[in-house]
Amino acid sequence: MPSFEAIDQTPVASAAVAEFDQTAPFVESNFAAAEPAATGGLRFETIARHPWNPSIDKLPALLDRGPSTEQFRSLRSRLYEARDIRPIKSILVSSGLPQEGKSFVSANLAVSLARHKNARVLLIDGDMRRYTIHEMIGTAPSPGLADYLAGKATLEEIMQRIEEPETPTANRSILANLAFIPGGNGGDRAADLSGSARFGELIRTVAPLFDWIVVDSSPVLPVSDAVNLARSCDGVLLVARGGVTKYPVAQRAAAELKASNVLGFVLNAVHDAPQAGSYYGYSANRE
Amino acid sequence: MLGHRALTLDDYLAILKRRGWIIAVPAVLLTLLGLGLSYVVQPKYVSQTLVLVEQQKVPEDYVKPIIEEDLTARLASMKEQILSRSRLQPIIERFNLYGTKNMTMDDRIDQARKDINIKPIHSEMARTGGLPGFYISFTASDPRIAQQVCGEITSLFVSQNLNARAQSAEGTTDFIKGQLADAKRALDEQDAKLATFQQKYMGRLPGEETTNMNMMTSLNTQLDAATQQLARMEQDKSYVEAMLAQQQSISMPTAGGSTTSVSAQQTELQTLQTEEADLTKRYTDDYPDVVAVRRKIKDLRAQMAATPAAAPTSVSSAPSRTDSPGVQQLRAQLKALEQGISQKRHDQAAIEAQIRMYQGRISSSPMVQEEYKNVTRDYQTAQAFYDDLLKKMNASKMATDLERRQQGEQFRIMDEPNLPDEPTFPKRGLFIGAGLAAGLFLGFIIVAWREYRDTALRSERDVWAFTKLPTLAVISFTGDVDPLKPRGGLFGRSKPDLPASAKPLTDTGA
Repeated sequence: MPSFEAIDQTPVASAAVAEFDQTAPFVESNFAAAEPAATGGLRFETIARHPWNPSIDKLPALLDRGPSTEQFRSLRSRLYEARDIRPIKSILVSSGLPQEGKSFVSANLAVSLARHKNARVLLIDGDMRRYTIHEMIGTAPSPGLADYLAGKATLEEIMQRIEEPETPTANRSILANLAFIPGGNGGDRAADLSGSARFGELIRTVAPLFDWIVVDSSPVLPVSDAVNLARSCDGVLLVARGGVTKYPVAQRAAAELKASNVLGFVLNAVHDAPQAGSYYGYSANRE
Repeated sequence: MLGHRALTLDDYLAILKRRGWIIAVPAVLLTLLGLGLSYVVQPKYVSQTLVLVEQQKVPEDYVKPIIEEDLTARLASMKEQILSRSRLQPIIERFNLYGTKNMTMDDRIDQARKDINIKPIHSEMARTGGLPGFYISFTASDPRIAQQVCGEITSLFVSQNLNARAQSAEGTTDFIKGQLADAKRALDEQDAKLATFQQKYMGRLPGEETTNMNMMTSLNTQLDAATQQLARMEQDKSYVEAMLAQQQSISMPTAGGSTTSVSAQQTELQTLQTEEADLTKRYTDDYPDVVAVRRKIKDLRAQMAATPAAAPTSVSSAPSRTDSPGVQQLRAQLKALEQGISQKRHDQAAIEAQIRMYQGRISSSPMVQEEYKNVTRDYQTAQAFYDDLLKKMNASKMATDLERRQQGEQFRIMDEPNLPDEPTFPKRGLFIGAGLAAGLFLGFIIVAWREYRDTALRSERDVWAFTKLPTLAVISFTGDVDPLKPRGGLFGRSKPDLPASAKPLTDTGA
């Protein structure tokens, strides 16, 4: 495993880091101390609640145990290790081509992060062309990010949380710390919208309210949306589909994002992946 | 990833696990194909026989074998003869070999040649360069035919060997016979030449010099003795003549003193002449004694010429009535002496002639010796050649007799051709093995090709090797649907949401 020190410090990444110019190790945000003015008067508690119908099949990280749960925990640990080296809060998830599992990784990573120490996590569906995360969560796709970037909706209108349950369940308590911004219908305007400065503003506005911001995005090779969005994020996770993604595609994707802080790859949908989880027959503890 | 980066054992195991079926399927299919082929292919049966080469029973020290050619070479030449069209065609026709295959006779003969196998066996018992025997085998699609044809070919070999040996032995004997006749003729010629020579130069031949020298010595001795006897007899005659003259003068005194002196001079002259003859036989004319004697003779003759010739009042030898008995006796003695002297002179001449003959022989002997050597050398050469041929002839006759009695080297069939109970081809195991090997090989080739063509990332090692970026997590595949199923165009709108129960497992993302 290579050291993260090997990763290039790009100017953009440095600019992003400057906002989080704190001494390592990174400490969780003190949400109570967060100035409402800095967040435009937005507070986590005031985020609109919506009825969500999450799909366990698509969000295996919701499960207490299982290989996927453990693998996303492992990914989460790595991000925390990376955060110890340099401040990271917003992470863009992208890949070279479509169909490699960006949304699956984004959604499950967000859930996994939300399970840990009650961290508050914002999941943004940044793929304004083929937005799919709302299907996993089981909510409406709009109004979403495209509407906000187009100036058609406010931040309060596009952000949502799961509604208070009448009978609390394990899943719903996990999802309580998770906020979600759907993709909205960007269509052909997605490229222009992604290049808008409003996305950076959005990130800066909501950053104090959350421990982690996970941004799903379009693939980098066919369209430039992800590269535009990456400028406003602290780090980039690239997803490669095991046995499908060709190495030239991965190389080109990494090259496209060389201006950003590429943290590394997530190898998705690998057959016979090394099984985490039942270590010597013991199940992982619940967090 | 094969050929794109250095692979570890784990990578190879992963490839095997991932694409094992690509290896297994052709391996199984080709194994089954091999098994099927082993039932379909026409079987081949091999019948084999062992022919031992028995050495001749009489030791070679006594009878040398006529044929000394290396058995391998003889076998090769026999094989060529036996595999000739004229020998094979009758066998092919009799057993109807390859009759079902719609082949021409030439093809059938070629096929038969391929199916006949002659393999020499080497063993420690074999002489240097020789072989104790060889295997003959024949391959056919029917075991009985294989056995019969093998037996036929074996008997061909055995009879061919016998014929060849007999012919060779007889041929050798005939040839030597002819050579021997020529040699005998040449020898007879040389013999006659030698006899003629010996006859011509009798007594002058090498080895007879000593005899000639001895004869010369003996003849010289005889000549000396004869000369001495002659001289004595001459003296006796002079004495008797003197006595007779004295007696006659007593009886008739008319004698002149000169007569006596004349007769004495004559006597002395004769003596000197005899001496001269004697000396000239032994010495040259320059020898001092010879010169002295000749001078004396010359002086005496001059003296006698100077002396007035007296009336020949020599002693009459003619008897007369008036002769006294003493005179008559003396006359008789004188007569006897004269006869003796003439006889001795004759003997002396004969001995001298003989001496001359022997001298001639001795002087001409070197020239004769040289000629004699030439004649005898030719004769000896012819004789040696003849003797050698005679020896060979005897040996050849013995060897021929050895072959006739079948005591020489011969082929002995140790094992009769066997009736094969199972085919040598196809070997089922071999076919299955070959099918399996070919299948595995094909599978490995396909896998290698596919792996070379496959540039997809599959592990952390791949990611690091090609992007030099760490892999933060490996998420296992959890879906059982086609994750790559297109869901509208890239820029198309997503479909309306489906109820969770109706949605596929998606770790596929968008």
